Amino acid sequence: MSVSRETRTITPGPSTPLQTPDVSVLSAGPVRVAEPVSPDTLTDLRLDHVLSSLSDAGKDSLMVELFTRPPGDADTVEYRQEVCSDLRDPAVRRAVATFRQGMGRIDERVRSAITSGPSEYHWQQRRRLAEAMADYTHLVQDLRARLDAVTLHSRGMSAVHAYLESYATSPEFEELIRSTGEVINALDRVRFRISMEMGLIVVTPAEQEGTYNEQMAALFERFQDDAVPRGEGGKQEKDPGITHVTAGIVAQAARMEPKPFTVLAEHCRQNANFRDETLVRFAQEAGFYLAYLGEIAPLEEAGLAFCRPGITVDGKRLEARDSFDLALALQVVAKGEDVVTNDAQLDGAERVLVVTGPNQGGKTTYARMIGQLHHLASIGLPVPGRDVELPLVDRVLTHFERVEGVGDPTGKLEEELVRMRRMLEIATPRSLVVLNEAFTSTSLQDARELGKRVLEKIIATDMLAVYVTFVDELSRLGPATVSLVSQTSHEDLNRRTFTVSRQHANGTARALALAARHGLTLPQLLERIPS
Amino acid sequence: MRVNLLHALGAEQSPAPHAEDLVLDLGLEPVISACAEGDPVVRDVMRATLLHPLTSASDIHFRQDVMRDFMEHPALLRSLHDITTRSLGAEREARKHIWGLTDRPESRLHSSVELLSLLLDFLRELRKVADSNTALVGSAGVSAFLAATSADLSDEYLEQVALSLDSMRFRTGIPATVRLSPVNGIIDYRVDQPPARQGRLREFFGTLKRSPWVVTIQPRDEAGATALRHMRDFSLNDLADTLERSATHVQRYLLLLHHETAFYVGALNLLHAFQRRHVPTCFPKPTDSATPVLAFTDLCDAGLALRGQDAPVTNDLDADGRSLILITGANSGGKSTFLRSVGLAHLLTQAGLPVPARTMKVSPAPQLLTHFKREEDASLTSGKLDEELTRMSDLIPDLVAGSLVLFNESFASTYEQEGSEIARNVVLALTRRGMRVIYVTHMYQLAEGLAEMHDESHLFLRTTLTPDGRASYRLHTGAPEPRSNGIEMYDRVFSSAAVWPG
Repeated sequence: MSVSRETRTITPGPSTPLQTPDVSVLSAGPVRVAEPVSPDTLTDLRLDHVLSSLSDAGKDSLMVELFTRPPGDADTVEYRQEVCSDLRDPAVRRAVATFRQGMGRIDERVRSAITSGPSEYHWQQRRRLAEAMADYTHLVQDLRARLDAVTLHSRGMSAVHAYLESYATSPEFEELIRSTGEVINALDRVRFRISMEMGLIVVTPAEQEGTYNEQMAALFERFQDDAVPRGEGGKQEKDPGITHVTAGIVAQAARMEPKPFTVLAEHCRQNANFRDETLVRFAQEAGFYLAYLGEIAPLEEAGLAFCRPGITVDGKRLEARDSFDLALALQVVAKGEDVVTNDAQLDGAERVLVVTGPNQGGKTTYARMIGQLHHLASIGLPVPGRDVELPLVDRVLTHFERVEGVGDPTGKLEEELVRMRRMLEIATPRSLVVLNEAFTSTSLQDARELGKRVLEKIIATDMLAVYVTFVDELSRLGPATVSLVSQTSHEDLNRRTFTVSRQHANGTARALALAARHGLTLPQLLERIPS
Repeated sequence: MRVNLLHALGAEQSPAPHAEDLVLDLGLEPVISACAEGDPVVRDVMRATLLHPLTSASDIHFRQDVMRDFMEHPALLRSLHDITTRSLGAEREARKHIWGLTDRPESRLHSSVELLSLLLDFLRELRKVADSNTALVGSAGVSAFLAATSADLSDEYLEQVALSLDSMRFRTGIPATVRLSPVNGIIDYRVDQPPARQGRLREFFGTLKRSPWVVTIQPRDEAGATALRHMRDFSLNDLADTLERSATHVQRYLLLLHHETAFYVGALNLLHAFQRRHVPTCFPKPTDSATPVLAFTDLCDAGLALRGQDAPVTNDLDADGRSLILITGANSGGKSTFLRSVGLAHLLTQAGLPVPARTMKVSPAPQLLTHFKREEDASLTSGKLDEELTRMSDLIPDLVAGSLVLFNESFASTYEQEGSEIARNVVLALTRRGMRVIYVTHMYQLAEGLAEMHDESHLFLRTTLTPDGRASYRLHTGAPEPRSNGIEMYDRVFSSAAVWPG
């Protein structure tokens, strides 16, 4: 019933062509991927925290793949942005999220039905499978109905919708609905009686249901005292669940009344692979967007803006308003505190943002923000801020101080210079480099000179850069550099004061004043006591 | 089944506000002790009942009538109280042995069935007592109780209970009708009637037919045994709840009867305590009236009477229609004792109890509140007057028209001029809003100011001196006199060579 397709394989390495199916929310066709972003860079930009919560601590390998490896071509980025925009519609998002969640649930059920336990539980395993089928048919119909009710704009979601229309109306699918319902209904009608004795259980056909409990309850009703609450159902006993004893009882019941059980067995045999592969894959792929949108939802509720960035392929223009460090914002909002937002702009010949200012002033956070903006945009996701426009960079490179090289200052400087050189070798005119407090282990004169040289190289290559430094001369290097200074926040002046003045105690009126304070003067009393 | 010996069906009392103050200010403790004679249950019941005063004449009559029945037939009261005492003892004993072995439903059900079987014997005894006494009693309360007991605990019913309890021992296994769960487990256990023993239960439930479809738990299959036990527990859970509730209700019924009879046991004890001291007693005549009714002859302070050996000084009063009684006069002249005797008489009346007076008529007060000068708790942080005012203010929300408020030397902890002004405002506001006030004070300025109003609803009482200058402890109607006898007392104390008591 499903269209057979090649399974996608992802092997790491440069420019691997990806096999993508016809119906995908990731791209319109095969994609050439760019370089994966390095683990160090993920750490420097604190994107590792974001990725970890998105990918369930790295367990979801598809998520890790999609988050760390930008597709590299503007069309695929736009394809993903379109899908994301559709999913920003709450109705679409709910539809897809419900479907994905349901498919996960079904997967678990099928796995537990197939893999679990000895064969004495076969009636339970088959029933789980049948229930999973029922769940699946409802889920498909539900997704179809929900997508029918919305307007889709993206190429990706439209393709899924069209596929779903043809699949859900196919005779195979309709037969699956009908037969599964019949099997389950027959099982739901099964009733029998058990007698729980010492060491054995006797199974017999059900007789007319008695009202023994009710009779016993009525026995002492005349002692019922309205002053005593009737009690809400008393104590809760846990359902005994499935054991080899209950399995044995059900097996005996199946022997006593075989019809519904044989029908179940036949149904399971015929529909072992009941899930459509394209829809299974859609559920997995959609997880990429849903996880990210779910992650940023609390931030949006807290009033922070996210937007679909405008991507330029050839230009160098950067524009962002009210942006912020995503990783930091996730922490800060979770604590219920306010997030500071920032703007960024590079225009004309400007290439390098040089950030100076006092410590604890948010310089590093600003640098991370710029790096995150470019990376998130390159993988097709909404970015923090409004009116964001930026170039599609081929890679984001970072140079942050490494804590481990504490000992020998000479060794540390050397290590830094080696790293710097490697980075600048990889960088192309289409790269973004983020440099944070370089050359702090040497003298100010050295740092000024080294920084100047690095910056000149960067400018010569015509790449984009953020440079966080304590050397403020570096911000005045020429038309390519833009100077930014961080500021500590102003004192909070919005404070109320109470006027405090003394009043002399008046001896003679003291008692009556005291009475008034207790509301015990004649007018006060007449007011307080209702007539 | 309801007991209803303390009040007619549906009557509800609310607790007296500031009950602790009432106990302290009126000296309720000796009264409660006389009732209890060392029985803690009687003590608790008396205290609780006194502090939930009845407010209508018919409710008071109801209790007085029941008490008259028990005064005439003390053996009936004794056997009712005795059956409940023994049932509670047996229950305590049973709980030690059959209760709380495990929290499992099957064991909970077992415990409840055993307990109910035990209590069934006491219900049978009650029934016998009811049968043999119905003809003897006259009060609405006792008659209704005995009649209901005979009817509700019929032979047929008691037999049915015995059989049903026995069926819940499930000697031949627990039968249950079940369905398949969505994972082909078993759900919806509905326990069926177990097969009858010796054919005594109705035929149509039949006996369990043997069946070829059997699941046997092997002797060493511990997991299987656990699973079966779990299933038994799960299916019996509702029944265990039901029976636990039933046991609670039957116990509560017996407990209620125990408490209500304890009240009358205490009431008879109180009566005998007065009689031993030759204190005349009477059932006061309650009157539902919009205007205050209060009149008595030879009323004494019940607490004082029960503490001593002899009958104390008594007073007469006719204060019908008076919303303010202001008592002035000599210190140690019996003012406070008088005030307490009136307060206690109200509490006793409104509990349905006899009062230590020859005659008394009274309109029940919807609330009884006290504001007494406190000797000890002064000057913590806020000062004595502040404390008094706080306490006064706390009383205001509890006032309803007709409430009786007793003041004892209130607001005297400041200059007389100020105290009088505060007190006057309070008295006027309360009386104007329909309260009844009895105020003991030595503040002449307060008394004089109120006397000058010549209000018909004000009554002024004064302590008197015996011809030899000592306090007579009897009060007489009379306008306030400008001076208390403090100076005299001082002189007497300091001039006398005799040993002064205390």
